[in-house]
Order: sequence, then structure tokens, then C-alpha cells
Amino acid sequence: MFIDQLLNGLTLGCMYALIALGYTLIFGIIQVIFFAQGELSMVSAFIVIGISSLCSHSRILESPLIFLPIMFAATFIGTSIVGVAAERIAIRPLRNSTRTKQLLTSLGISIILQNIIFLTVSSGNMAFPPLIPLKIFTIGSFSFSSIQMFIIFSSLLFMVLLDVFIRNTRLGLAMRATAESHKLARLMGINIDRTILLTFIIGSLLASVSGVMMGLYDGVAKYDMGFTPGIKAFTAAILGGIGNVRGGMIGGLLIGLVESLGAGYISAEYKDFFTFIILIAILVLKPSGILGERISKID
Amino acid sequence: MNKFDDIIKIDQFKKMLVWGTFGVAFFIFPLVAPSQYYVHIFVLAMLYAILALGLSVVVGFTGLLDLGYVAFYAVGAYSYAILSVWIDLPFGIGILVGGTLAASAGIILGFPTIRARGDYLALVTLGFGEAIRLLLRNWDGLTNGPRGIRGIHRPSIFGFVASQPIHFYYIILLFGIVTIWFVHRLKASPFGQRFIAIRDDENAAEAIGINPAKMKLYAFAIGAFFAGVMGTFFAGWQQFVSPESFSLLESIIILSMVILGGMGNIPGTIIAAIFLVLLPEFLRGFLEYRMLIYGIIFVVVVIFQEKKKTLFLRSRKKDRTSDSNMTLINTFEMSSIKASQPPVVLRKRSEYILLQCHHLFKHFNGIQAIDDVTLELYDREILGLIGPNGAGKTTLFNCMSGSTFPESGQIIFEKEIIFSRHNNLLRSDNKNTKHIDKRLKAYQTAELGIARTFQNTRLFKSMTVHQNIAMGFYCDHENNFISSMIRTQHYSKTEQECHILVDDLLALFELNSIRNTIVSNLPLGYQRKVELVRALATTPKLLLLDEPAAGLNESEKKEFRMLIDKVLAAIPLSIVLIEHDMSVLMDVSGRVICMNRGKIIAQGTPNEIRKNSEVKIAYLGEDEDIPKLQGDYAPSK
Repeated sequence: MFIDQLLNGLTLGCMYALIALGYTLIFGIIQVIFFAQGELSMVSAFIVIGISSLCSHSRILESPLIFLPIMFAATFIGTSIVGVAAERIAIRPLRNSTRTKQLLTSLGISIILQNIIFLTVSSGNMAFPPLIPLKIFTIGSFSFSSIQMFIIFSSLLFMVLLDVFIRNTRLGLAMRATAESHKLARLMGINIDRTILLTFIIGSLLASVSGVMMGLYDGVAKYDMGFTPGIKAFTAAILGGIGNVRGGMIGGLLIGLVESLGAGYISAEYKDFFTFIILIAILVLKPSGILGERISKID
Repeated sequence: MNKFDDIIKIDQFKKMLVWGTFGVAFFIFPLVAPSQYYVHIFVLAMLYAILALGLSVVVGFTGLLDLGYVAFYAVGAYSYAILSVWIDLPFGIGILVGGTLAASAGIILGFPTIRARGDYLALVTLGFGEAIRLLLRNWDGLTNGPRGIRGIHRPSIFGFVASQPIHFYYIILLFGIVTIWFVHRLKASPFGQRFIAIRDDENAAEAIGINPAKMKLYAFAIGAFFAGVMGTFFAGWQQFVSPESFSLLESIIILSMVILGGMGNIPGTIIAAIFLVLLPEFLRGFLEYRMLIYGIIFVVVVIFQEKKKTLFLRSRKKDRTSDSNMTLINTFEMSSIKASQPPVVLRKRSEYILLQCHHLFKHFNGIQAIDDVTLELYDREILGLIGPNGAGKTTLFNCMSGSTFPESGQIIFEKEIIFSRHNNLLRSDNKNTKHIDKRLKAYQTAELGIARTFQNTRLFKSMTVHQNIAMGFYCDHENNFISSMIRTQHYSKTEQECHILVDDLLALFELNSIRNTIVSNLPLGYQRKVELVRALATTPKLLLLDEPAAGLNESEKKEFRMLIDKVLAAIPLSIVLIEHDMSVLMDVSGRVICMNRGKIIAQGTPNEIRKNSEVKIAYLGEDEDIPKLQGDYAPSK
């Protein structure tokens, strides 16, 4: 029972962590809570549904080794286009405005995305294609599924890749420099607009991966599936110290564990309630998170 | 002056006419409405209009983004629902209970969160709203869970039970009129102007004596009160409440009304609320698209407003400079005062010590910004503060004005301790006295009489010159919330005093020609001047000027020096001046202190400082030498 819950929490936590990293990266670079991060995951899940229904009659589905990479690439590109468009439309025109206004417009984007899917695709649950054959492994008294393993290992892979990217590449350096100070980074010859765009693309990549995982995990996709995980992921980002990449990973895992253990041992109905209470508590008591914020000083 | 008054009177008359027409139209509407259904829709529209007005106090006036407004609405609705079903609480009392409970919830939520940064506050309120909804869904014993509460009593007044839509229409019309009156009066009062001051620039507001935390709490409580009252009305009207009426969606709907209405514009907000409620009635099939449209409103209207194109009515007061007397430049010169005063440098300072700093220490991440600074400031003295960038000058200012606190040391202003914290050096000085930690915040020091200007000019950018300066005045003459709303005698008296003082200041500093210009449209030189005058309007004993001449050209600098003369002639005060322009500083100051790397390295008369070798090395440089910075010290902003 305990180990099952632990594994469940870890799986949830990995998905939250990926979205949280998107929040944290974007916040780190423009100090804006890009609210639509959860909705980008939802969009990616629907892109997967779209592609697989298009290919449902072709034989490509039968060879997952070819199909899966193509599908991941298409999902990633589609989500990135949405993410970049959102930045262009809702964030960039307000770059010199208050952060509250940018939060408002990104909340607007999140409502718009939800309702586009609601109106054009479906208002209810849609079956998510089983991209990975579901197998249950049992070791002793506890069991785990192939989907859980897939989620845990691939998200850990993405997190490590992200960490390496940010710490060890020129683009990562540019991102860190931009996060410190837009002015100074520009003086050093860094193209700020492009760096911000890159950040949104990475955010979209993370969101698209987590969207696919959420679809796999639940087996269904719905227009509002990104909202609550989005808020939980935001809680995770704050918990780990927003702007702090490693903090985002740890925060995501913690929130996932709290949720699944809370649901298992305290009350399933109140599990979301606890998350919101944690959100309020952290924002009020320790807004810099457990690992500390990594944001440049304002003003 | 008369010209202004005439314009204002005509404006007021026009306004009265418009409001009166609308009032009459609203009053007779249900009598001529084609069907009861339209009356019903209008009740809904007005319900939302009142909610939106309440939220506009929080979002529009004060600039706090509240995404959980519906939670307060829910508190009002459920409190009446439960009490009505359990103990037959009458509607009239229910209204008060609902409003008070919601306002208390606002204060309880606001108290710990109000210090959170703006965008964090938005998320806290979002979390609160969702938490309340989940609580209502799951707390079966109290709220009957997702099934909701049925059988709530209809509102009744003296045995008359409201049952027809038309009854509710007139009840809510009454609420609406009271709300509009309240919000309008609040916005016009100096008390309400403080909300706007905080929205425009919180630091500046604090520097002139406004307590931001208190005002934000007020805004939260006022907004929540209206939501609570409307929640009660909603429960009595529908006779049924369920958690689904209080989802995030509702908060978003109300918020989009506030945004569409121009963020704090009262008629705009009402029109937007009625428009958004009526739209689905006229456009069939719109209901499905409405969330999409709200989302689009969030994005498009906010960006439009940012680009200075408000969609509905203009949200700020008219800029009257264009249609008034830009040419009527006030030629009233204060030459009499100027001639009679001796040059600044020769003024005798008194021996009365106004401000003392003892052993102040402050560091930022390993940089020692202030390192054991002890200084004294005499009454009516002008003290120049010089030193290389990053020497700790502005930090010292911030410590004196209470916007940051030193790690240790003591600051005494006029025998009042404004900062004190344990420090070994201090303890050895006076072993016998019992030491108490104390720190006054910026708004408290402002009340004591320390005024300041900022390195990068901070004005209330949506206000006119006159309003900016009047804000400074209110610091000393506080009218509380209630006296501002019912306009007590004290209130009218201070209002009059304020007008006289502000007019005097405007005349003295030749700002009459631009009195009604929005400050963000002014050139930098004028903005500096307005900031200085605003600081003077707080009637300070000590004025801290942080690089007032930076970025000014030669003639503006000359004007600035005359300005200082004028200030000193008109008002007896001390000045501490940070300035990099040595010609200005050395001219004006009676005494100069030079800082480097957080330490005071020299002090004396301007001439002594000019000759001091340490100052030359650290800052001024030899005549033919380039000033050198010491060590690995990186100048920082």
C-alpha cells in the first residue's frame, strides 16, 4: 500500500515537475507567471489524439518505433507554435508593464486555449491512444505498470538534459545571463528576444512531454485537464523556489508525493484542497521556497 | 482659477444630468419592460455590476489582482443560506452578517498575504477561491456538499415578502445606488486617492506617509464586503445555493467586467457588467462562446489599455492643460523672499541636533554597504553626502527613511528613536540603559517629518500635479475611512486647508500653469520639481534629496539651486543632499560628508573636503588625475 502510493506520487510528481520547470524557466527569465503552462500540456495531449486518429487507418501505428518519434516531434512542434504565439500575442507587448498585467493576459491565453478545444474538439473526455502497451509488473506484494516506469524514466531523462543544457551550453549561459539582467545581457550581445523565445520553446517542450504523460496516465484527455495540474505545478515551482531549476524538480516530486499520500491516508476528496492550502501557506510563509529563488533583483 | 471652477461646474452639471437620466430610466424600466424575464435579466446584470464595482476597488483602484473574489461572494451566500435555514435569520440582518463575515474573511486572508508581491497575491487569492469551493463541496455537515442548500427564505421587510422579479429589481436598484454612491465618494476622497497612489507607486506612497499594508487591507475588506452583501442577496433571490455557483469561472467573469470597464472607472464598469450579462440574451448561441470571449477580453483589452486606448470611457481624469491656460503662466515671482535671504552657505545652522546615527551597519550579500557610520545632523543644516557610486549613500538614505533597516545601530530623530538594534559597540556606550529593539517603517518616519525624493523620480503617474502634491499633504492630516465617507466637519476643514496649502506651494514654485497636467506627461526637470514639492507638502523637518540634479541640464541645475534657496526661505528644515555635481553640492551645502565603501572617510566644510587627500583619492581626484576606485570594489546600482 505505502509503496504503491509512493510510486504513484512519484509518477504524479514527475509530471508536475515538468510543468513546474516551464513555470520556473519562464519566471526566471521574464519574472512573469506564465499561467498557460498547464494548458500547453492539454494542447499537446489533444495533438496526440489528433495525429493518432489521422493515422488510425494507416499501418504506421503498427510500428511504434517509427510512429512514436514522429508523433513526439509533431506534438512538440505544435505545442511550441502555440507557446511562442502566446508569448508574441500576450506577453511581449507588455514587456515593460507590470507583472500583474502579464499574469492577467497569460490567464486570458489559458482560458482561450481551453475554450478553443472545448468548442472545436470536444467538451467531454476523449480516449487517449495507448501509445505504450500497458503491462503490470508485480514484485512481491507491490506492482507497477509500464506507463509509470515510462513516465518516471523519461521525465528524469528530460530533467537531466535540461539541467545539462542550462549549465553547460552557450544558449543556457545566454538564458542565465538574461535572467540576471536584460540590460546587461543585451550589452554583451545576447539577443534578448530570441533568448526569451527559446525559453518559451523549452517550456513548451516540457509541457508537451508532460501532456503526453498525463494522457497516458489517465487514459483520457479533456479541455480542462491542464488547469488543476497547472496550479499544482505552480505550487511546486514556488515550493522549490521559483526561478530555481533544481528546486522546480524537487518541488514537483514533493507535491506529487503529498498529493498521493494525502489521498491515500487522509482523504481523497480533500486532496486538491490540501494542494491549495499548501500553495497559500508557502506563498505567505516562505515565498522564496525551500531552495531559494534565483531571480534577478527587481528595479 | 475661475475658469477652472467654471469648467468643473459645467462638468458636474453634465454628469448629474447623465446620472439622473440613467437613474430615471432604471427606475421606470420594470414598469415598461415587455416581460418579467427582462426584469429578471436586469436583476442579474445589476448583481454583477455591484460585484464588479466592489472588485474594482481592489483591482482597479489599488492594483491588487484578486482571482478569488468569488470566495467572498460564497461566504455571503452560504452564511445567509445556513442561518436562514437553521435559525430563520431575517434578510436585513443577513445582509449585514454576510457583508461583515465576507469582509472579515477578506481581512483574515489579506493580513498575512498582503505583503506578498502582486503576482503572488493573485495566486494566493486563486488558491483561496478554489479552496473555499472545495470546502463547500466536501463539508457535507455544514454545506450539504454538492447538492447545495435549498429552501432559503425570501427577503421580507416588515411582513412584505419579495417574490416577484420586480421586487428584487427595486431591492437591487437600491443596493446599486448605494454602491455607486459609495464607490464614487471613496474614489473622490483623499482616502480613496491613497489606493490609487499605492497602485501607481507603492514606495513613493510609503515615503509620504501612507501605510500600504493597511490601505490594501482596507481595499480587500471593502471589496469583500460588497461581495458578501451580494452573496446574501443572491441566496435570498434564488432560494438555493450550491458550490457550482462559486467556481473560478465566476471570478473570471467579474474580473473581465472590471477590465473591460477600464480598471476602476465607475460608469465603465457598470456598462461593461450590463453589456456582458445582456450579450448572451441578444446573441443566441453566444453562451457557448462566452468563456472564449472573456479570455479574449483579458488579452486584448489589457494590451489595448496598455497602449493607451481604453475601449470604453476614458479611465483617468481629463487632462485639462490643452483646453485651459497654458499661456497663463504664473508670473507671480517670489522675488521678495529671494532678495531678503542671505545666500545659503552663509546661513547659520542651529546647534540643535535633529538626527543622529550611531554605529550603523548594513550589508548586502557580502558587500558592506554601510560600515559603522556615525553622524549627526543639525537643525536647519544642509549636509552634502558625496562618494563614489556604491559608497553606501543611498543605502544610508534608505536607512534614515526606514525603507531598509540596518543590521544594527541606532537612529534618533528629534529625540525619538526611529531605529535601534543590539550592537556590541552600542551596548558598551550606554551600559545602564535598557535596550529595546525598534524600527519605524518608511510611512512612520514620514509622519515624524522625514521626507525624501528618489534617485529615479517616483511620482503617482496617473495623477495630476495638483493631486500629487495634495497626496503629500494628506500624510499629516489623516482623515480616516469613516470621516472621509460621511464628510465630517473635520474632513471639510482639512480639505480646505489642503487646497490653500497646495495652492500656496503651486504658486511658490511656479507650477500653477501645469497644475492639472498628468505628471507622466511632464519633462524630467518638472517631474523632479513636483517630487520635491510633494515632499515639502508633508511639512517635513528633514528632507532627503537623492541626486536631485542628475540628468538635468545646466539651466535646469541653476533653477534647481534657486529652488533650494526658495525652499529654505519658505520652510525651516534640514536637508541631506546626495549629488555628484560638485558645483551644485559644494555651493549649497554647509557641511560635506564623504563616504567610501560604506565608511565615512571625511567630513568638514566644502573647502576642507575639497582639499582632503583621502577624498581626492577616493572620489574627487587630483586636478590632473583620474579618480581611482579602491581595490576590487565593483560599483553597483
